[in-house]
Amino acid sequence: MKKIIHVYCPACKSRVPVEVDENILLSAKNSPLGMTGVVDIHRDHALIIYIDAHGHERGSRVYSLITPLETGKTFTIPLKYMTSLNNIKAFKLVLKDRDLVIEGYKEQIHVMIKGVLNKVELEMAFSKLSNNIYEWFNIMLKSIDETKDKIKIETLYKALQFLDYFLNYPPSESYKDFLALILSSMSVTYKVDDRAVKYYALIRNIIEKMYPHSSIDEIIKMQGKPLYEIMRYKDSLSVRELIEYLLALEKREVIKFEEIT
Amino acid sequence: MTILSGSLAREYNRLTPIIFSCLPKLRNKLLKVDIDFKEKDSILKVTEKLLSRHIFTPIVKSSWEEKLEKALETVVDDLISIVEDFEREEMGCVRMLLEFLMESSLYAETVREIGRKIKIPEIGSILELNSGTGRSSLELAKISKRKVIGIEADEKCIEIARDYLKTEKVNNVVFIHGDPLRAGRYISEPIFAIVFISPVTWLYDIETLISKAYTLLEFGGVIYGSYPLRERPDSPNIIEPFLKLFGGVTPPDKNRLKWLFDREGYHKPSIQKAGPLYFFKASKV
Repeated sequence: MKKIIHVYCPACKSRVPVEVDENILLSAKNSPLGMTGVVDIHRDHALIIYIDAHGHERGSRVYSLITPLETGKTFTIPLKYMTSLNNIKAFKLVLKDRDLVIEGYKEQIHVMIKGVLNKVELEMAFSKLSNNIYEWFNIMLKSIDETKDKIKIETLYKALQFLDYFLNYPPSESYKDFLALILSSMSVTYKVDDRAVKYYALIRNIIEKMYPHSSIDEIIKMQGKPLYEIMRYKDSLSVRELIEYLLALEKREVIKFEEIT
Repeated sequence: MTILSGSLAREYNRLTPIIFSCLPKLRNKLLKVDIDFKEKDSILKVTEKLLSRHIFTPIVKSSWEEKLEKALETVVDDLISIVEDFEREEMGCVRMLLEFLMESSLYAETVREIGRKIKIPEIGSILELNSGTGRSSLELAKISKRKVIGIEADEKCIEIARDYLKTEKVNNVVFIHGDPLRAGRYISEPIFAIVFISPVTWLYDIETLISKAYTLLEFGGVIYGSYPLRERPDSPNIIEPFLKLFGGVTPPDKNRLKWLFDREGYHKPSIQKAGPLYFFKASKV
């Protein structure tokens, strides 16, 4: 049974409706703390509402998108976000190093594919199974393992959207790097080399013909900001093009990726 | 026998005045900046000699020619950083200058003309030494329908070439990161054509490359190359000062090249001038 509770978001200064369904209650019940955090992503912040096993609000917190997630907690991606995924029905990610559980369900699922790599446990359920799916699942698991310290709820959701879109296409190794970059996009930025930009002008037409929705002007404007800021409003196809473009610039030493400390 | 058609060779003539127009700026900059490197005196001597010539500067330039002029001016402005990069054996920003040259229609058409002349058995492959950012290997593969192996010492050039390969969905090219002078280590197939026409080649000692190519080539095979040779031993090539900035060596003259072909045992060598460049071909029989 679903119920709607209204929670005040101090950052937006307004009350927001949050849907509490059976999956959230179950997740709270199974959590060692007896509650789960429901994540509502707002413009530049995320509101996390803690719900207990009875469906009552037990407090809320606003996170800036670059704040590290609290350890020892379970977070649930609400149904309204999950419904935008076509191929992924449910997921549960356990990052043992960070004592963190992030999960999301479109419906009650009893059978999921499970993979364990080092201290990462990933369970996923898909609308249809194919040989590609297992390969994609492995790529996702490896990317998560590579970036496990940098994953945020928003970047995980972005990576899930990306995976959901490309599940219909044949997988390739380069997608592991793409997913890893998306997963760590809140902790990664880049610096533009002004000297290299002068040389880039010589080949700009050639490169930007290959990546028609990308431009060096946007890249210069956004330098120093987390990658997530550039990709957050882009669809998966545009995210892929953006990453390919950034990698093309990196190969030409026009930009240099840097970690946000 | 000509390597390039007359009209294509004439296109190269248009490069000479553009390069010439940048020489005074290069010379002045070198005299002005406080930087010392191995080839500095040699560049100053060569530019002095070259500037005593009179070369007509064209009034009308194509947009690509204007870009080339701008590129050379950027190189002059950036001289100190370039010298530092090459002293560290890094290509740095010059990689994009290389890509600009290799992605030009003049370069692509040159490769296609050469590719159309390469006739090799079905089991044979084409080897490109110094494949740079990959354009020549890709065009050769498209034209010849044979397997092409591009070997390049700069790792980032290889990555860029692989991107083009993926974008253009060409499946008969392999790019290998490695020393072109040790190409034998990376190949196992019979090589019936060796090409070294990318601008990266101009930074190598051509005598070593020609000698190496002979050992890699099957009997009946052919080599095609380009190099900014000197007309006579005391007559520097107009590209020479720029190449020396990038660590290039003093090029031999065309008679020395002919002598070298004879020494190595090549058959029927031919050399053709095209603007500041010389294209050559020779076979192993």
